[in-house]
Amino acid sequence: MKNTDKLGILKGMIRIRLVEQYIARRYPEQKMRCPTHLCLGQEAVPAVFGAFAQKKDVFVGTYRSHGHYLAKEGNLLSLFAEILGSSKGCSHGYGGSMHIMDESVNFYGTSAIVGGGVPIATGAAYAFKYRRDPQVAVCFIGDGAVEEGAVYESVNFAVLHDLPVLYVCENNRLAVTTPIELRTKNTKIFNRFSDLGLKGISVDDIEIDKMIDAAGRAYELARKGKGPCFIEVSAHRWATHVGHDYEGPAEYWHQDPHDKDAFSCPIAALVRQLVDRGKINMQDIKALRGKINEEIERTFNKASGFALANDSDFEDKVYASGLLSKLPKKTIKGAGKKYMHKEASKLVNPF
Amino acid sequence: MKMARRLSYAHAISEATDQAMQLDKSVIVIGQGTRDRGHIFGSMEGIFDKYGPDRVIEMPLSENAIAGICVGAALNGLRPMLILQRVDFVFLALDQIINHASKYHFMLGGKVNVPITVRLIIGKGWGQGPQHSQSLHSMFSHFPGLRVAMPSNPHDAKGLLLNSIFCDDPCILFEGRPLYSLEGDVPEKPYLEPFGKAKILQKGKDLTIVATSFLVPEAVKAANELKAKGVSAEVIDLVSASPVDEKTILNSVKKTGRLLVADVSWDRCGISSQISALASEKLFGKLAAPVRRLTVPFAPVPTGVMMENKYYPNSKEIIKACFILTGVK
Repeated sequence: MKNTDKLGILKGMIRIRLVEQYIARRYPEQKMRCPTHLCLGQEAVPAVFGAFAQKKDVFVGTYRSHGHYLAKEGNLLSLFAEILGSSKGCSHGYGGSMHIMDESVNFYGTSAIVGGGVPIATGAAYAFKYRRDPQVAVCFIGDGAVEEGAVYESVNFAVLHDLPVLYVCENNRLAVTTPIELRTKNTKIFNRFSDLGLKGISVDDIEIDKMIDAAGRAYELARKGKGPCFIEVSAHRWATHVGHDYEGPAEYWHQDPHDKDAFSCPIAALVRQLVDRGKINMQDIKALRGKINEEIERTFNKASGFALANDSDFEDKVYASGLLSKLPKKTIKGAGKKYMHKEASKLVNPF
Repeated sequence: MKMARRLSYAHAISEATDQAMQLDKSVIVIGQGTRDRGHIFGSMEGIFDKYGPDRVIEMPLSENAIAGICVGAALNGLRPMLILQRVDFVFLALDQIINHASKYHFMLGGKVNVPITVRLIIGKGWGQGPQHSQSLHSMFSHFPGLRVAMPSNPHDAKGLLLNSIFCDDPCILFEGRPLYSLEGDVPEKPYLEPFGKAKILQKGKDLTIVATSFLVPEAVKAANELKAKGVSAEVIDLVSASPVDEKTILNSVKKTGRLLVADVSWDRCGISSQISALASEKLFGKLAAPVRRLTVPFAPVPTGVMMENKYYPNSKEIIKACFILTGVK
């Protein structure tokens, strides 16, 4: 387990925010040529759930997953390289910002189809349970995803089989740009799965203690074979759906985290708490930001120097294997005469 | 001499499933009706009793999630086989099969594989009607990333199922329900039949018939009757809709100069169009007659027995088409 103390979580949140701000700043240069969805304002969820994750746990994200990738100890250079379209990117330039994949940290392919990752995370959890492996699959979704049928189908299956999967819903009340009130009557999400038997909890992302507590318990239950959990986290998306524009206190929360305009900022909320308790001071924050920004600048410049992926053999890259498979080398029994000249059963549904 | 071992198409599938599960613990099966007395028309006979509920999962009616669960399990080391008793239900699972399974290997830089097998049963015949009996191999063959095959006999049903299960890519198998009771020689040992390999079932010199699925036995029957009329037809079982075995088809048509494609799906944007385009692109000037296609009418299948019988092409219509192609009457 990584650093689940609040200082560790704070560092994770700040790093995600600074990376996203940096991407936003450089995005208009047209060198990052793929739809890019920033998680500015929503850094708390990835940082907290990343802090509790073990290396073997699997994260399945959405198209807005830079933060989740970094929180799963993803490689910043691979992330930048991927967004810049280099073959040194984590998906070799084939995926871009929306399809980040890194098996070395068990970050499994983000989907551009809303809700698309939910069955996949659930299937990963089935594989863990099948192998009696205490791994957890964590599936990040937004409030739009719970409008998709596949989510209900998956939840039902996960509950039925007590699968070790966490559904973490970042409710920013927006699907693309459509507010939740235009999409559903009941805007509370966490309890709508309770009739399927799913345990649910709702927290606000500025209530960092509650979220840490909820995340810790959910991981523990899943790891002990007690089944899935749904955690709804109220969050604010400061970024536009796609692209580099954003508003909110991203630029000034660190000047005065007690400023009322910084109230919706989960980082400012945690800083306030830690400063008030004397665990950290604003000089530390300044130093930390400086250090991270330096890392980001250096890493981005390095990634910018990589050659762009320029393959031409697309048709050779579609399939993982050839037309003839390989049978495992093992001696096994055939069915002998069991099925010979026997009519196939026509019971129940004869046709 | 040892007697040939004859199994039904359904039991060839049962045996392949059993052997795959013996060979590799990562093979799991999920479908509806896996433990009922019908054993999915006999194709799962003995499997649940032998392997139990962890490896033979009874599915809730949630096709899309279940397909995605197979993808997620496959990404994490399992080799899931999904069975849909009626091919038509697969439309509910297309997001996961097309948007996810077929693209993951490519889209994620070749770093992950999605070894899933989807068995789809075409319920042709006995009044199954328009939502139980569509032949969808053409549609699936449109998408890169999938292997698509349609075994027409018990031998191929076993070999192609084993090949699919141990393939590292998503594979779609179309099984014709009317073929389930068909018996054929099936070796007991596990063996593989490759994708992309068509089979010449009968040699001929006057024309080539490329047939699919349950039209294959009809084509063989037609070719035998044509012999009496002095027409020598070469019959090719397409076997795989993706990839299509271009070489075998082109070599045959180069020799015969005439091509009939007899397909169980619709003509428009269908596998028959694809094979027809192949012949015109590669053999322009070498064809003695325009390519002919024999497909089901461009309408859903009606349920009523008289209409249903008229709807599906059979050996008689194949013979008629061959007469037109060769000019023989």
